[in-house]
Amino acid sequence: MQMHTDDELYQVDDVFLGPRGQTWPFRVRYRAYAIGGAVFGAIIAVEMWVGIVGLWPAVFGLLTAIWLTQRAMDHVDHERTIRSAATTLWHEITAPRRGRSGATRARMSLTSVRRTR
Amino acid sequence: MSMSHKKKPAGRPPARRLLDRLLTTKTHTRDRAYSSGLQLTDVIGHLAVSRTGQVTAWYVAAPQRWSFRTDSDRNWLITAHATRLAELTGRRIHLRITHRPYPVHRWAEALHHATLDPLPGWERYLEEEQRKIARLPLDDKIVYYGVRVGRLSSAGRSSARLMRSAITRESSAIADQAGIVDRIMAAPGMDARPADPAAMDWLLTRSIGLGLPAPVVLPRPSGVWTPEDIAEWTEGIEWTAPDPYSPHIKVSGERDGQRVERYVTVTTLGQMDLPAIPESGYGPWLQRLDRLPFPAEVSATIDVRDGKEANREVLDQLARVQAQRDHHAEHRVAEPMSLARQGALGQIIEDDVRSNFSGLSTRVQCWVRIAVSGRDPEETRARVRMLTEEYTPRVTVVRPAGQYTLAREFIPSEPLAVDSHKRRMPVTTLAGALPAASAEVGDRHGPNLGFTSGITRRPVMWHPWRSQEVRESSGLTPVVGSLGAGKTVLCGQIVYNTSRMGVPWVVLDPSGPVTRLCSLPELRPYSKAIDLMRAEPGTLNPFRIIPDPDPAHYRPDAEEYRNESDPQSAAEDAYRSAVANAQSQRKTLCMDVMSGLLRSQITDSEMTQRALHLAARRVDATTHASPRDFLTALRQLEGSLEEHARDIAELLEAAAELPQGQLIFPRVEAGDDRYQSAHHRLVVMSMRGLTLPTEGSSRAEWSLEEQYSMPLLYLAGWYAQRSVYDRPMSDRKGLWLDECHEMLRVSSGRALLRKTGRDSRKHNVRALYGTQDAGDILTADISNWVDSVFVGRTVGAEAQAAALRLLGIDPGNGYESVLAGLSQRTRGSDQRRGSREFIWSDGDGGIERITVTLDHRPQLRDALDSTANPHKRTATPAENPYVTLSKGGGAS
Repeated sequence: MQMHTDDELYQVDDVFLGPRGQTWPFRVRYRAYAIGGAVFGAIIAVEMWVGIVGLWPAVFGLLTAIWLTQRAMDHVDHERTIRSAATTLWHEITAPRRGRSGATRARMSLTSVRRTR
Repeated sequence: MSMSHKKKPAGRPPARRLLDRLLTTKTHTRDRAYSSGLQLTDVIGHLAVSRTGQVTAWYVAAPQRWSFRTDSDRNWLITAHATRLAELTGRRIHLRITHRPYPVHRWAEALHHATLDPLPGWERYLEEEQRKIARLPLDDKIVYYGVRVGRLSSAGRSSARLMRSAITRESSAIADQAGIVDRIMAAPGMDARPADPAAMDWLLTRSIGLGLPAPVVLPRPSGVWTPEDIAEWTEGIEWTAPDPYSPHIKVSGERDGQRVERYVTVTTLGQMDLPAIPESGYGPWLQRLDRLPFPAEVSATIDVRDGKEANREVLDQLARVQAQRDHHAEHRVAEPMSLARQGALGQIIEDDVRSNFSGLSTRVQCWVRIAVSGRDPEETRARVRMLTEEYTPRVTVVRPAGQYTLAREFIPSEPLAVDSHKRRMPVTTLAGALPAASAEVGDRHGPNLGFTSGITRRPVMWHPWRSQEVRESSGLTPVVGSLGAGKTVLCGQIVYNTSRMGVPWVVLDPSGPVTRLCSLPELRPYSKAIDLMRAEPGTLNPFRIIPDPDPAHYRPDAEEYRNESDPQSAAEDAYRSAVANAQSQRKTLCMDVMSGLLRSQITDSEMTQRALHLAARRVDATTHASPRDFLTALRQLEGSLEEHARDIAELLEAAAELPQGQLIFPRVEAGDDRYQSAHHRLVVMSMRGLTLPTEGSSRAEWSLEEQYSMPLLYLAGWYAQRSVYDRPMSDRKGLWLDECHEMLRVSSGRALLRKTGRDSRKHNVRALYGTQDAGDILTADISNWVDSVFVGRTVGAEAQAAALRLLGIDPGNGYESVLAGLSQRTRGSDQRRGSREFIWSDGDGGIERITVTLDHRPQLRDALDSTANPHKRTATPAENPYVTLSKGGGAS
């Protein structure tokens, strides 16, 4: 019996080649634009909040946003969505651990017993 | 509070319990002192309830045989499994595979309890065997399916006290759903039964203590667990993630009074490119885990998708593909080839989902996690590497981040940690995983035979009398194989092990090497080697070697007569019939022997046959008769046969004077020699010097020695078989007849094997028939009494087809080459084959390839080594007369 999977159908690269009639020299996925836009907006918001406004801070913010987006896209592919990457990051932050000295730094384990009253 | 669980009174039926629990949840909350951090709050029977009210019904799947089935059988199994999964459309399934270790000491305990009156040195034997078996994994795979059957709304649970009717309706709807799922899970292809309290207890113990060693002792669980009880499971168990993005988590807990730590890594299955199963020989894709030398835990979350929903998603994907193609065309940029492929695949899937109504086009999405654990991070890493190599290159094994939450997925009722690495496939591909496929063979009560050498490498045990004592089956075991297949090694090992258990054996080994068993120090005081060729004259008297039935075996209170209207007369009738049968067999045997002593030209004549028949009719066929009475009867024949009969009697008289003939014709009535088989645990009868005819040669070509050897052989068979009746009926006994293919040439030989088979259950006999050709067994009409079969290396198309039929496998499915490839030697290798391979059908549904090795018992191995070895004779090798020459030609 043939053992097919449907996985390939869900591995479509949604790339944006540029506006109609203008083909850009690079191919970037739509979701990268979405992440980049959000990151850039956040950087600009932070800059404005601390009072740094101007062309150069905006250029610096753009370059930082591109760099951060590239790093973020390393963790996003057909197998891992943006949401799952963010969820995983949250899971790593909140996972229970023991301090280096051996003392409990965070809650030991979600499976351990706790009193309810 | 410790990890031990509270004992509770036996529970009422689960359905009633479910209702009770649901109605009383609120009132009990105030009394609850502890709660776990798990989603699981209640377990009622096989139903698990989560904090969110999700109710999951848990089932345990029965093992499915995969080895040595035809491809059509395997395809049927996959299709049936897929159909069952498709019937669960719209539900989430949690597949969990875990293991139940079978401690070696528990096997030794079971074997000890199954042993009666062992030989001295039994404790040492048990210890040696335990050491050998401990080197291989001895655990049982348990496959659980958790199927969501519904959800209890929080509003309904909260208002339980106010609106009793609302919660009653809700719980009865869940009970209905559970009933539907119960029926689906019990159907062929799934063969799963609701998990009993012990199974639920084991699932929770193994899931919460993920990767920890299994506890040796578990208290008897009850059918209902409250949140407080579940909190007790988690007490003392700690799960921690050492560092951010650490490749493992650390699980620690108490096991049998000691603090234990394990490092657990959770992997997930990524891209798959599976070949056709079973046609490619790849095997079920989750069964591959059985090949690993360590147990791996599996947790798969499976959503069986509704057809409309799946179709909508496929159409959305097709639209995405088309949009990308249009976008590339708009920019006049060559589109990636994958887009065209994806478009074509999407259309095929869409058509399949829309037009296939068999249920086999149902789509599933699943997340398959595999957890491996080790004592330290290095061991865990090495095991992950082995797991990855096992699946390479067909399946990608990924180790994702977020190990802590991924590991929690293994606990029942915990949610899916993360959506990544989702696999989408038709239900048939998921069915190709067939996690319950098993390579089980043998039992856990008998001595060790060796280990399986097919998919997995696990110890194989067999209790040769369990078939008769428990399954009420017969005890006939043909051991088939060409020359050098290892029949002697296998049978010798069975005889050795069970002799040490105290079971008496009688062995007929015409060629004689097995007599060396009697010289082993541990068996020597209890065994006796008899060379029948040097026995007292008349030892093989055909009238004496078939005993009269014992009246004690035909008592009216016996099981078979108890239900008769008149047990007394039924038992007497049966006894009389058995006496008449024995007399008839003696006459037939005597005729066969007399025919065998004559040249074929004389035997084949009609007059000879008539004379022999008439003489046999006149002779008194009691145990006190003699073949000389038969000669007298021949001489007394009158009429047209008178002269011919006298000539035959003269010829037979001449044969009686020869040494071989003297064994058959007693000078005077011999005494009772049955004390030998009745007083020794192991009696090995050999016939050294017996020259058996060449395989396939016609009777006319036989020399005088060869001609006399045949009657002696099957008389010896009867002589050995007689021992079965010397001991109490229910006592365990063993009978090993070698060279059975020779006995099957004559009617009395076939009758001997049939009689042994027929009496094997009643007299609790395990009979091993060593033969070179399975076809003889099939044509001898003894297949009905065959319980288990061992087939060693077999060459020749006809012999292979017969061996497969004997195993219950249809020939023509490619297993012929497996038989030819058993115990294969490497070309050019000077090493002797230390171990031998067999295909073993255990009579209880299991068929596997096993390897029999005696490396841990060198003395036994040497005793059973029937391969020619000229060095055996000289204690010290002669001095090497050769010298190394120097370049110049002189001796150095």
